[in-house]
Amino acid sequence: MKKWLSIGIAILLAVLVYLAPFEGLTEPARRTFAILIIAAVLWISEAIPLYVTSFVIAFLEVVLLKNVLNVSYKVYLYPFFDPIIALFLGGFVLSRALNKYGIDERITRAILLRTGNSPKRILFGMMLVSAFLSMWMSNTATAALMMTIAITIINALPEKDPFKIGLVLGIPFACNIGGMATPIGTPPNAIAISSLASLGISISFIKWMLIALPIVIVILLLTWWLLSSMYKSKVKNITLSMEKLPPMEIKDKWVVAVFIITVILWLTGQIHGIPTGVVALIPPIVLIGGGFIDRDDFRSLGWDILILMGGGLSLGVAMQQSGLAEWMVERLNVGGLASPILLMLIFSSITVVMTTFISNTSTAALVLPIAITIGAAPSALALITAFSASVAMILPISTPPNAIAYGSGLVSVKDMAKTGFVVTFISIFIVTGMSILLTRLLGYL
Amino acid sequence: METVKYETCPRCNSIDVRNNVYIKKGESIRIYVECAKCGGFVARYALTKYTSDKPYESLLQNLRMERFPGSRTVAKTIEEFSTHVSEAFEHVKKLRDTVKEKRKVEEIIVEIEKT
Repeated sequence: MKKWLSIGIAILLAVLVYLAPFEGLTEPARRTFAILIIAAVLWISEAIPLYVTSFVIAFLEVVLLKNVLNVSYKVYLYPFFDPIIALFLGGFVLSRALNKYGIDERITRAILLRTGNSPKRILFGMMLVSAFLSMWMSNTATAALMMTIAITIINALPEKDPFKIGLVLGIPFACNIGGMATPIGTPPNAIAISSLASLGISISFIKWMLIALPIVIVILLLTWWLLSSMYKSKVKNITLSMEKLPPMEIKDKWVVAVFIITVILWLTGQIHGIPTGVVALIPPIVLIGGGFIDRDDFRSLGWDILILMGGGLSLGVAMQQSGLAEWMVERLNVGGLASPILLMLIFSSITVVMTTFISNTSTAALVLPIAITIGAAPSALALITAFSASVAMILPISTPPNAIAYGSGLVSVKDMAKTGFVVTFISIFIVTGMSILLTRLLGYL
Repeated sequence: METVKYETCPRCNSIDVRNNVYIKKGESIRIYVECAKCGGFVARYALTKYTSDKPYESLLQNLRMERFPGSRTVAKTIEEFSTHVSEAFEHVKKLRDTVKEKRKVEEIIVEIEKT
């Protein structure tokens, strides 16, 4: 019932928007506005699976816009295999292999055994590993792995030790933060890169990391300090009981080699000139071709996420081509704001509020086409929007890692909201300030 | 349509069976069902998801293999997982006592695939 109500509201609002006497709105932009409304309502309500909305977008674009804009229908389908989607596909294959061959566990072990035994240091180690793995793997998979380890630590603590809460919150927060660091860390990053590419602004893998990594480090350290101050342990030392892993087999070494080679090639794109999307084909070729990843693994790679991203990119194309994004920017008069910094803070806040309640990929898909249309500093605005989509971590429904941590039953919504709000609020300013500074240093502003 | 039946040894018809869980890195986990009475081969299953008596820990293992486009799907999965397993187990036991299934497992599978 709720599902059909949401679908009905989406259609009704779309028709109303289409018929409304908006000044200066051309016919293609009017139609795109109706599609945008349908997408927004369906993404917010999740009346149908998020990725099915992407199919709805593509279908409506082809049916409603092809003729009025006089373009090939393929224009709306190409984004579904945009180079950034290929980049993500490569990342998914790498991530699956790292998981399947237990490399993620080895990395975790290697770091945790070196961070020391005090609760503060253990929290730091857990957050560091979570953030690092999230740079390359899915935030959900990383949170699940780290929560497994956290539970063994928690079981050894006194019953009402506040540190338990700090540890359980530290994992999802670090996973969310770590996802910002690389283009493959989380889908909003990819949507930002692809949106900027449509304006002729190219952000390479290494340049993304040069901007994002310092931001990640600052927010991560701040979050760690906050959690370790708020949730102090009753014990002085915690003994990590981690089983000894067997020596690496030849297949494990192959997976590590493919991971290292791929990352090096991603980082050195400007030297060898092979696009990151093409480098990303190496993991599927070697790991699937070599039998490291089987057909079942390949089938379950997260195609729904790729399709969701494709729909977001396709919507962005329509908003740009039809002039809707430009019209919205004019009507909102955001470009006329006295301070560009204020404008960036507003975009960051809007993104954070939206992402608190809906998928960060959907949020990025809805906000980024508008953000990049504002003449001043599209790169900084796009990055701020993408980063802000990762720093909203107030509620269990804000991000998949938050939902996993909450599912443990070890933290309440109040615990998460109290700490998450502080981290999110401070992050808005860090993301905005550091993005402006770093994009300027790298010549994007 | 839903039905339940005991795994039965094709040689001695015993319902007393043992699960041999075969784990090899890089491959799907396989369960070789052995007749506890005569030691004969009963069936083999390939495991996609495993749930132990600690549902949250099992869920974490499953989530390590999955990707989610949004947090609501994860929250729903967690909610269903924690309540679903024990309820489903009770339902299956009840069904087993009421439905007197005579067909072989492979016959049921073929029938379901046809429909």
